[in-house]
Amino acid sequence: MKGYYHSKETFGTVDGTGIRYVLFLAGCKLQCIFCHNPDTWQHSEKMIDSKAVLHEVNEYRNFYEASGGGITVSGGEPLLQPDFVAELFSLCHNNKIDTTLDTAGFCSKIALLKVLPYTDHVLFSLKAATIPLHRKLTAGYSNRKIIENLQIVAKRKPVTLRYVILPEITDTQIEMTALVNLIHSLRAVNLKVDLLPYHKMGIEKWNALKMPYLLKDLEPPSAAAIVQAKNKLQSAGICMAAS
Amino acid sequence: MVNYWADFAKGDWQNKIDVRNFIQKNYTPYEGNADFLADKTKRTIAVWEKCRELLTKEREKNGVLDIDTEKVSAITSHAPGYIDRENEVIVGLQLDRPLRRGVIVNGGLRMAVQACKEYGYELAPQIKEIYSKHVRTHNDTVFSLYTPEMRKARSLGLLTGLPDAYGRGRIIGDYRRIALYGMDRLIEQKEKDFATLFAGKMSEEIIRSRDETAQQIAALHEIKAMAAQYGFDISRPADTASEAVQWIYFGYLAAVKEQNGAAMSIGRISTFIDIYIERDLARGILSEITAQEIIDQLVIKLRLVRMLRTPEYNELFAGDPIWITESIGGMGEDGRTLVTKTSMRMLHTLDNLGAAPEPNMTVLWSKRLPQEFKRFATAVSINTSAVQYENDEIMRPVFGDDYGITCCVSAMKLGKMMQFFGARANLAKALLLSINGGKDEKTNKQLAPEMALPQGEYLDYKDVREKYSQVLEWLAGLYVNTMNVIHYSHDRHAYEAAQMALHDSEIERLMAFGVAGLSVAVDSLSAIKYAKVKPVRNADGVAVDFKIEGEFPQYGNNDPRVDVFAREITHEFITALKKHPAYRNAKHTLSVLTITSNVMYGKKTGTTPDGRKAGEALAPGANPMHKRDRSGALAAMKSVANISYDDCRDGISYTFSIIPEALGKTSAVREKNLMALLDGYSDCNAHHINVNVLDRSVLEDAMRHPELYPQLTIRVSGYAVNFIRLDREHQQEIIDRTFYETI
Ligand code: SF4
Repeated sequence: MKGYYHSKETFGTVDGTGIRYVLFLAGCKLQCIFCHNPDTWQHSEKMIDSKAVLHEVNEYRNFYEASGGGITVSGGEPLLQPDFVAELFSLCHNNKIDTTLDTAGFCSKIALLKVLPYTDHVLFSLKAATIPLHRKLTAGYSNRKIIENLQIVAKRKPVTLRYVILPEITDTQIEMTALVNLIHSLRAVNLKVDLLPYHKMGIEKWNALKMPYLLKDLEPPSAAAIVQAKNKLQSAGICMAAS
Repeated sequence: MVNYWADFAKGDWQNKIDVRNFIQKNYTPYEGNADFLADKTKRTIAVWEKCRELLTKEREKNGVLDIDTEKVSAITSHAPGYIDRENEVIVGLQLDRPLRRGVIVNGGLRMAVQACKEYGYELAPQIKEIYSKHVRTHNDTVFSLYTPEMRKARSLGLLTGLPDAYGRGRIIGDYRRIALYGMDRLIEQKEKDFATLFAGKMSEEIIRSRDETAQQIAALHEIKAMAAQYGFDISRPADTASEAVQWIYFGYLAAVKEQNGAAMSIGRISTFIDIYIERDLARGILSEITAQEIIDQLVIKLRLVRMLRTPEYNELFAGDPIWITESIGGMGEDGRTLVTKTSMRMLHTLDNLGAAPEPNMTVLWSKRLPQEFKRFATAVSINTSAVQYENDEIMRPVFGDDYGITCCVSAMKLGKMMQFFGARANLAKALLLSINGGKDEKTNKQLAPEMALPQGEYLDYKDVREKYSQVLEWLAGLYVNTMNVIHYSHDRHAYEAAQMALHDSEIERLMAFGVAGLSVAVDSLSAIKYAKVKPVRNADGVAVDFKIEGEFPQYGNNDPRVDVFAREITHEFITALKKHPAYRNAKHTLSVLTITSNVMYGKKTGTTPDGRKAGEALAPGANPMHKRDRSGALAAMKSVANISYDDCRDGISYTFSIIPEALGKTSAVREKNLMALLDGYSDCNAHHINVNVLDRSVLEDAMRHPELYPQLTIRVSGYAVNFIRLDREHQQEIIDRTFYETI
């Protein structure tokens, strides 16, 4: 079947382990104010067939296999097209291709459960651990459903929890404590945290779309701020992703 | 009598000259990590510091520190020279002072005069007199033999960079033989060959072989005499690791004193030397520190090798390269790896001494190489952009496991093969000939045999393709004949006696043809086939511009519709070349390699149907045209890999540049991903890849502040250059290339 997509990358090195084929699907409702791909929120008529994706992955599989890589489906929010992702991942599994799902978890439980059986690894982007901040950073949404989904994922699959450090916004005492408590409550099989320093590379895209970029005065965090956040998590016994 | 071979495993190598057998019986494969490696010693630091000062001075003096205009360089022409005598562990310079350049005139007097003049020197009158009145040079003979058609193809830029005005190079003496056997044994063998192989009926061929063998024997005596000037007796085998390296270097030194060859590779010495190092370590007379010191100091010597070259030469091959290619690693036919600790020591010189283009570090890659070695090589590569990789898995079946790379990408069995270097034919220009009725697009002169212009307002693919085949057929004949003339003359006037003395007496010969402008020709055919291309013709009927309507697939995106042309054309061209017998029964080979000459070839090529404007640089080697490879690194690699090594046995060069962040977030991830890239590339049966890991902004900054980047090295097409030694035009061309930077 076909899915709406935004773009694809045959040599992805930052979304999962090894070298990966990365398919960016189109469509996302969360509307994070620091999103660096706002051009993926709406989908156009651009579609791709799951078999065509598989064909292309096979074309480069020497490289993916040699690196311990595979395919990553990212977005946008891939779980808005669960049937497409499930079919694609199951095709990949039949062809012994490693699958990674890059999601913000903003979807129904049913959607998630459709895709999870064919998923080897999940990159789960959590925007904020507390509800008020989550509302502020997205289009007003609570993270309740997202956290329920995270609980499901963490119990079943290896997860890299991605958390963007917005200086003095997501790394405050309150937020970091909430994050630690949340992670401790997950009873995860294998969870690592990847702290991503906020960057402004998306700003051009916001301008191009004529949307106001609320964080234009926010500077990326210092290296020290990242280390501090990392230390906080590590001292709480939380594993960090190797980076 | 001292037994120089004590502690070595016995074998056939003792009864006949057989370095490979010696290596196989005696080497110790190394699968461990790089932790054992040692830092540079005080002595090395002292010597290298002196060299760095000299190198700065050389740069300030417009790239040439000094020329000896009084005395022609030969094996024993100059008194011994030193850099810092008490700290030098390995000795020997081409002339009596470091970085001083010698004149070698048998290639051509005009070139020697010009080269001197270019740097503000004047060649001594007595030398001019001898070479104009009493000695005929290679250049004199070639130009007297050239047909009008050859001259025209050459001057209009269809065949360019031909070794008719400079030494052909590309021959690799098996310098290891000197260390293993000593000169006396090598001389004895040559004398035996002289008396037995080349005896009996005196045909022209036998006489020539006798003559050459006699020259070789004389050269061997001279090498011995040169070593004696430095106080070494190399008539006997080397007794220690330090002697082994010194003996090898004397052989190499003789070659670069005698020949101003385009590429002067050193072969595959690391694993050979390792055997001597292991023996000395076991005897307790060497430590890791002193072992590394020997290698570091050899590399310093190699970094100082200089040739005196003309402005025309520099325009073709920018950055003053010598191509002291050292082939490292690879797998043995028996499945053991040929990686030893000294393979790592050799690469480690890039850490100890900093990045540099020479020696041209070439890793023979296989998926099966030890993991730790792969990791180390990629780490060095990422830090220095000074390493190239060639696919051992496709070369070993053809050349065995004791081959070396000469120049950039050209494999030969060491001591058993030589080659006649043939520069390259411009395929983009050839395509224009087929569109223009055989007329040169720059001068409107008839170059190829006259043929009808393609019919119709728009170029018809079938019509053009047929005409292109006719042009390629004609060009192949002309090319082979031209090469035959050149190498006849080169053998006669500038025979590489010292290097050939370090070969078997009966050898296989290759004739290495090449192509430039492949991607432009390929994209042009694609434009004609898949878009609509309307030629804009001048009064002579020559297309001076092309109007392109519509899109067309471009080479470098793993699109079979266009990639097939690259495979097809190289196959067609080598097949056509093989129809014409080559001089001395040489086997025809073909390379897709330009070095930096893609810039110059571009200048000589008019506007092409792919949208490239007249004068713009062609892509280097087998690379896609700049910025047309829009589907990512892997797609470009697959397109290149699609060209068959069976057709291009002289090598297929691809240069890959990527910013560090795009290779991965951390250095460990970058190493892992580069290893995977190389494994995957090798799996696709691709041949060669240059790897540059750096930001374009670094290069731009180096253009503005060269003094801050004395050792900035970048791989171009089959070799590496010191970036700041390139002229602005070549620098800009490198900056314009695709840097993969998606993250
Ligand atoms: S979930 Fe991702 S794609 Fe969607 S708005 Fe947030 S950052 Fe952008």
